[in-house]
Amino acid sequence: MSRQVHVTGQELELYVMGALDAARVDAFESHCATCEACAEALAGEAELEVAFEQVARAPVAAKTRVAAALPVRAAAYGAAGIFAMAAAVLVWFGHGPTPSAASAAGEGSGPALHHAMDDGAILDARNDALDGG
Amino acid sequence: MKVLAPALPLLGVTLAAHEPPAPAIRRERPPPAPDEASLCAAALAGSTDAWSTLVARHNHRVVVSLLARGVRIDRAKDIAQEAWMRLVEQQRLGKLDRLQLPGLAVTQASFLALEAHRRDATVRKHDPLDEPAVSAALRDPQCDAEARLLTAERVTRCLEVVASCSASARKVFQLAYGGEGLSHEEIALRVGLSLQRVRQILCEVRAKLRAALTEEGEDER
Repeated sequence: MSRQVHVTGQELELYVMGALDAARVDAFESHCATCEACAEALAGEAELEVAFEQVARAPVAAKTRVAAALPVRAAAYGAAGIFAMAAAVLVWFGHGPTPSAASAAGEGSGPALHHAMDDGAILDARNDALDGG
Repeated sequence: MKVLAPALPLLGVTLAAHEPPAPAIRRERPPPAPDEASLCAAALAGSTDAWSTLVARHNHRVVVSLLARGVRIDRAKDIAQEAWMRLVEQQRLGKLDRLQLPGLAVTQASFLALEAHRRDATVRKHDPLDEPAVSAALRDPQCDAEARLLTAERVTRCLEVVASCSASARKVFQLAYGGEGLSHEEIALRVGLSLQRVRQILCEVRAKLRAALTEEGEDER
């Protein structure tokens, strides 16, 4: 690592974690001592490191609250997903033709048939589907 | 005998009684590191070895705290060194009745950094506003860098990120940043993972937290 070559993000991270290869530490430090940009980047990385300590030392109550809230949120997202899927299925069976209906009509795929149908036909198809026909 | 050994079980003959017992395979584990409380007690009693161990364990953290306040790396290392020397001196003079690390060393180093900065500012009266970031960061050494860094909302966001990680990742993160001053090797021993895996986990958690904090920062803007 010469003075012209800036330190990498990975080196910055490893250094503040105390995990940078011992053979590279001297070169890293001497570069950061003279390079304004790298010194600034190192300060930013060190800030993050200190911030992570703050997170790890957050009160147990806060951690418990967050951990308890996560499953609720996940369940809410899951329920929303299931609801969306159910709505999509309803729309499909309510407005779209069944493959058998499409082939019996001698028309192309579902969407093409849908465009060809008038409102009355749509209602009939939906009623058929709801009746299980 | 050894040549015949594989065939003997087929004949219903066992050599167990005649073979010398196989040496037990024992993994050589390094002795457990002395715990923080006993080290601090020994240091307070004047043990040089205990001080050396504590300095080796916490010095990097002190340097990083100074870097986070905008102190340049060469200066940060000198200040950290001086902070430790002052603590040892205070202990020898009987002025130190409690040792809580790395907090005490970080506070001591912050005071020294502030002193040094004021001294420099006095010398450079023609340009008192030089290094405004450092000046602002050091103005109130009692106010931790942590207090400046994360608001309660951001801490909560980070906690959510950590909570979404795997159990082993959470444990590694907690051991690394929870203030026990454990090295990555010690963490690896505790959780039964390789050193490389521990560092990989830490880098992954850091990346997630960094992304969360960056996201939050952009939202605030």
